[in-house]
Amino acid sequence: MIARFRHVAKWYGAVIGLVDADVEIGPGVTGLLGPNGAGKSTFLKLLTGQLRPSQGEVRLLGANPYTTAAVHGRIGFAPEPDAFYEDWTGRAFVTFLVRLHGFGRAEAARRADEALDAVGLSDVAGRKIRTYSKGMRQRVKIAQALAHDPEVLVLDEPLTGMDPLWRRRLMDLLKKLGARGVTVIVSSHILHEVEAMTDTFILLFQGRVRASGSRGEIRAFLSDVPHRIRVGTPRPKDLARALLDLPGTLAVRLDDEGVSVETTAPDTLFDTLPALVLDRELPVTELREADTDLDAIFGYLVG
Amino acid sequence: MRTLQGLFLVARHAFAGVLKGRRAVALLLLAALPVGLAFLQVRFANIVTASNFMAVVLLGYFQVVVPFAGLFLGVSVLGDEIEGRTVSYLFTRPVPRWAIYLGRLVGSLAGFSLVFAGSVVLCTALYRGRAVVRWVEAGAAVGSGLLGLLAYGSIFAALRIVLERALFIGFLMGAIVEGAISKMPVSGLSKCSIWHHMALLQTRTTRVAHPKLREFLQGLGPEETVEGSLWVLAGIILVAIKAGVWLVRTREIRVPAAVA
Repeated sequence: MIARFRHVAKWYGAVIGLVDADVEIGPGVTGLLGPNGAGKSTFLKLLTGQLRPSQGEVRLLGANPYTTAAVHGRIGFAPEPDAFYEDWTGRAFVTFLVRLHGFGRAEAARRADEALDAVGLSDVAGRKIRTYSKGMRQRVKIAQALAHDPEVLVLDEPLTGMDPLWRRRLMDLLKKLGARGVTVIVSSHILHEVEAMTDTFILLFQGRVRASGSRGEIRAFLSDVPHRIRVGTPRPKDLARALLDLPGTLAVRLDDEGVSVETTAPDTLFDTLPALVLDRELPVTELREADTDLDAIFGYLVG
Repeated sequence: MRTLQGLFLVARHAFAGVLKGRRAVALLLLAALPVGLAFLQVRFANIVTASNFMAVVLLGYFQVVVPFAGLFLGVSVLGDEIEGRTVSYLFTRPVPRWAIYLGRLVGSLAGFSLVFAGSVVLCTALYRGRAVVRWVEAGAAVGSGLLGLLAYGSIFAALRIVLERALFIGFLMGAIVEGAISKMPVSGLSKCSIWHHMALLQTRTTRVAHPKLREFLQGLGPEETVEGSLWVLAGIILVAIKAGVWLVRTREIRVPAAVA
């Protein structure tokens, strides 16, 4: 396990930042999802040792990140605030921060150039950061987090303000890093962005971890919420009639291309459906769970 | 090794940052104040003596420039990084927080010292055109002033870790402790002020007689020596730095939320 939150709470005076977070984070890409104010930044600051838990314990790579400076050598962090040493060039900024990891001047400069190149800023590396666009500034933040080859990469809302092209490229880069064995923890309030990068999530709402795990695991966990299953067929009326007789079926909605079933017993439906369509000689063009997308799961979780 | 390298890099970064931003303008104006006074005096006064220079040192530098510069220095040590919300970049590196704090204190002090020393040298050069002011007096002023600057700076730097409004509170504290309390006619109370020890170092190591200085010297007991004041200032500096290091290690430092 790369990181572990054990019943962690964080209060800012009377304001609640995080309540009883008890989650584990493993290798690969993990999406930290939640609307603004859900506690994502607090979660990431606790994870990277910038904040101390009011209660509970945070472990990162086996150490307490708040008290163990050495563990920071193995992580890269891109904060959410749009804050820089504005009069510095992108290259100087990244080189300075890489040097704090103990690298010599030449090695740090080489790593900074590589990281800036990876985020497409080679051409403007010699320009002052104050002249950068919002998207470029986001990419500098990512470059400084990447440049020392961290084992754990923690990015707080990294895609905010990026143009669609770089949004896509960065998502690909993070996926590649995840596949290479880097643990990437990326926060966002935009579901489809995170969904495009990973299948493993931590869902936060009002300071509470509402769910964590893979999409399927989280959906399965919501056993009391009816599942929506989409079955495509050119004969929706016949299929609907057959599905209504199945135990657990709550509702069937028809359209020209098929039916959407709401059921409390999805396993029964999947088990029975092959025999049912064969008996009635119903052609099936599509079969999928329609509410395992994050939007739907999130909707269920936060009401 | 990584800690030392980090401390050095952060110090260099802080040094370079001293002469940037609005605070730098305030610092330069502050440092220019006694130089401006010296210029006016040298240019327009009929008689200019070395004791005029001493008055500028004791009243201009030690009572105004050093405390205010110390206040600016102290609050900028971590304050600049916190208010600029760049502290996250530093605190997520494998360099202990105390090393970052010390690095910024040392770097900022070096920058402020250069401005302060430059101002005293310029002032001395102006007076030397009209009166017998020895460089040793200027050296004593720089040395005493730098000790005072470090004392004030380390106190206010530690204060800034605890208080967000350290500039305001530091100003009040300076005015109360250095201004009001130290001037009260109560025996021994004046020794509580940093000004007292800076002035003692200056007066005991120079030969210039100024009415203010003579009055000050008459009030000194035989036990008040240069060594004693050096120990007091060193003690204040060490305790304040230790307190700052302890606070930065134990106290959570929060980045203020962005202003929409």
